[in-house]
Amino acid sequence: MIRIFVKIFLFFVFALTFSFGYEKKQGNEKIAKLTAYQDFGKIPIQYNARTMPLYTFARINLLNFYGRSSLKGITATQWLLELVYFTDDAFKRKIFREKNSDVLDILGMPYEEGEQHFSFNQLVPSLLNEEMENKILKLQEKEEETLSLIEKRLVNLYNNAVIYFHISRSFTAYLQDFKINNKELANKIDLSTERGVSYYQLLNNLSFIHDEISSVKKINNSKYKKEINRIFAYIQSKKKESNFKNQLAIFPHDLKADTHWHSAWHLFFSKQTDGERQMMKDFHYLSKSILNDDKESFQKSIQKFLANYGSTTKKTSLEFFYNKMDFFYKSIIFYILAFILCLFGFIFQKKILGRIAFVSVIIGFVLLTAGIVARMIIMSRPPVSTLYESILFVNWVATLSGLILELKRKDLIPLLTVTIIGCLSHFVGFRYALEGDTLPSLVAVLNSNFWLATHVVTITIGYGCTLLTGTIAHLLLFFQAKQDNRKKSHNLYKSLFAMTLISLFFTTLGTILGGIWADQSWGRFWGWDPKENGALLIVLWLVLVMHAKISGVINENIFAVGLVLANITVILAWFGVNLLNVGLHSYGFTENIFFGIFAFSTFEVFYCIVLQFFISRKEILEKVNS
Amino acid sequence: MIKKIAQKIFGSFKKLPLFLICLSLLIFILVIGTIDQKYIGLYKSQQKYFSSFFFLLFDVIPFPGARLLLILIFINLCTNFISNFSKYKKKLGVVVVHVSVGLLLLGGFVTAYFSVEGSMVIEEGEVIDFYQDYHKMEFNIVETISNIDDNNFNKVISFRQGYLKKNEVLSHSQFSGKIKILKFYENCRIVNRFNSGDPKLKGIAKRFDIRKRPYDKEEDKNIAAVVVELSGAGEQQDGIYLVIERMIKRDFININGKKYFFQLKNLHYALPFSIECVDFKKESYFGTDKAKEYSSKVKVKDKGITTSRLIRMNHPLRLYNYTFYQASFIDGTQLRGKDTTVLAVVKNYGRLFPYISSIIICVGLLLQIFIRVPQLIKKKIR
Repeated sequence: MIRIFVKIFLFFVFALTFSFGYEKKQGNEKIAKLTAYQDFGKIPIQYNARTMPLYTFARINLLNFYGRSSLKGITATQWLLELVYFTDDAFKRKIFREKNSDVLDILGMPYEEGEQHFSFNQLVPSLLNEEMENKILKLQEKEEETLSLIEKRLVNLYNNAVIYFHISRSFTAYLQDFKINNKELANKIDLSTERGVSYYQLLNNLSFIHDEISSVKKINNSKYKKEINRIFAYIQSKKKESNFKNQLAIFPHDLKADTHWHSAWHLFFSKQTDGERQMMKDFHYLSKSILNDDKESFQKSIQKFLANYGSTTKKTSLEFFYNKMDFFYKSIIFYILAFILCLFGFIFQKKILGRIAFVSVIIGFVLLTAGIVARMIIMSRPPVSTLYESILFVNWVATLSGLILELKRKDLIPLLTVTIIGCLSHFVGFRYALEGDTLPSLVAVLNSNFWLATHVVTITIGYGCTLLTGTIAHLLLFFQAKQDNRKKSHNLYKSLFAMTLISLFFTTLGTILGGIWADQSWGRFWGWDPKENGALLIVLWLVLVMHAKISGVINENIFAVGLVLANITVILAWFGVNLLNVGLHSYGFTENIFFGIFAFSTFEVFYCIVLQFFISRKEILEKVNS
Repeated sequence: MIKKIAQKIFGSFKKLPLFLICLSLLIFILVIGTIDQKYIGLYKSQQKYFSSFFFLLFDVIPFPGARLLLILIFINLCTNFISNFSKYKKKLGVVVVHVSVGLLLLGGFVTAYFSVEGSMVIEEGEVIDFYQDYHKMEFNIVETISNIDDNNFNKVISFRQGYLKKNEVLSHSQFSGKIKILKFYENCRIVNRFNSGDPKLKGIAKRFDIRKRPYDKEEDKNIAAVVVELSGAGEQQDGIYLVIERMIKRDFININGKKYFFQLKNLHYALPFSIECVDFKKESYFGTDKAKEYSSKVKVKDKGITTSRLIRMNHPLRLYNYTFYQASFIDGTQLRGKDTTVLAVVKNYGRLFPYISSIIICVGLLLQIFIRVPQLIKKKIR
């Protein structure tokens, strides 16, 4: 029985770890065929104050419009390819998510229970007309807090639609959508009449008949007058595409990375260096291979393009790989598995389940570590630079210290705690990852600072240790209420006391380092501001609980209660303080955080009250019986 | 049964040491004060809950402030330490930790009572030898010596904010008049005056009056103003004057051939040297407005010697007991093309305390951990 279980488990392991190479079955749509062109996502783009692979850019924007970073069985890269090369199809695709019935009413869109997504074509008549634009412009002038929910969503939807449209204009200069009718002229400028030609090709090749088109008089005398005028009309109308912002900036200025990068249209209207001209030519071949579904040419072109342009491709390749691997999604599966195994191992006292659980946690931990390390390399900075990263790191710390404790104690209690914290942090992390680019560049004051790095890492370790301590304390209370073994719970208490000391060390050190950083950056060690107060709260609470126990004011059980409540201080310091200064950039999100913190705190307090009730009751009954 | 349980739980709380009471109260204030910061702003919250000895909780209940609690904790720490020294001798880690906490608190008190913070706003090309307080004001009687409207060319008698209380009378040997404070508000609303026929009202006061407004969370939005009564300047000029912060229009007063005007502005602290802003640079991330790095190239003129220094984010300039930080800037593209750098200035004698005590606290806690933890985490008892 166990053997079969182990075999299934191992299969699970292999299947998951290598599933990134697996291509899902897709339909016959053209977008499905774009799966052969995934490497397009490796091209670096300058966006959001940094360089990232187009794959990340596509994921961020798709997340924004659609609510998910991939469509059913279709990667974000494919979505982007369709948007820039096969715009007609893209505009029919249901991408924009909107479920607010009032907003849909204003736009005259149908509201159906299941249907939440709308295509660009559906939105254009009601959202992108002059009347609506004026309305939206007026709304944008007001302060964000004064807008109603409906108004916010309307502005949001409008902005998204505009950005979507602008992105779609990025490579229109390379779309082969003009047909030359005059075969003679076509031969003269070395272009075909069979297939369409692009703006780029026309601009390039018209130089062959430079003399004939050098003045209006000469054109009028030319025998291709009609066709030439037609071509010029096309060129003039196409030029307007350059006016749109938000286009993909994938062409480094003069081929150097540390500059302001150009979009395709931007490049046409700037003075091009020789290198840039070659880059445009290579990009033309790349686009052509995609438009003509020529997989071989594409492979050659993309390799050449990646090798020559954008010296940051090493980091962007890593980011591409990191995105593809989805480390954290894989990691949580092992944590969940471990939790189930551990729980059963505990209830049924089967050691083997515990051992498999241990291995499962290790695998989850390794995946988590890989993800964190990849992020560090990509951004060249310490592990904790944003709130999202702090969630990952707390998870990492709690898992590591829990595993070490488990090795010492070998009674599955730390392991169970690790799986609980691991799963919860992963879930919270996923929610934060939905916010967009999880690898943003940092503002000036947070940039490259030794004290900041040490402070944040230390305090996050403190959070991790405290949470581990607090969660184990839950279990101590549970055992006290159920079992009869004084020695066992006293033994667990001693571990908890040790862990409190360690947690205290890291949180105190972290708080002080924060003060030193503040002194280095702003001139004062302590300013009683929310973040500082939050960290101090954890320290003072731990000190209070410890001293109360040492001086005999409280017993071991109340000590455990105190540690459970310490969890609340950590959550308040970690997430709560952000709520105090929030500017409502993401209204729904902030409300959720508040609700989450409130629910968590209430749960903890209830847990303490209920369990302490049972413990005291048991003690009184024992006294009565003896 | 429930009664018994309650008794059991709360019974052990009978003998509560002073330290634990103070600490609990401190935690309570910490939470309340932090939440209140959202409503009354950081500065006011600091003043009310953390820098005070007492305050009124919810404006009704008298409550000890953090400063009092910390002082009590410090005294408690010292007395406990001295009286129980023999017991603690053996627990070295514990001793070290508590000594460092004491040092930290001591440093905190020095900072609280002796440090002065302010800002310096220097336009490119300008030379300045003072810095301004963030909140406190000063009331100046300025005697114009030249036509140039620059404090370097005038004689200034300055009264700090402490003097700006109702019915306080300001006088000085160099000034033949006397000034009585009628109204002073840190933040006010300027309103039209209706009884402008009153001959006592002079200058701007004839047309305007001020109404008190609550202190705004955002510092820049506060407009301070004062209404004063001048006497001793002759019948024509004696009367009530209104002086508003940052107002350009002035009322001039002539006494014995000397020309004066009144001024209300941020409290100035003189520096023993001057700083010239040579160039301010903002580096943004490519393609955006997001700031990557701010830096100011400055020239420090100290006793005739000029040195060039660079102040960057996270790399302050330290001179004597002063520290200058790159805080922010004012973009100059709209005004005359010259950027203005804004530096944060701190004068603090207790700067080094936290560094020393944090090293000691680390050592102490580590000692304690290495001594105690192995004993505590033993193998599970079978």
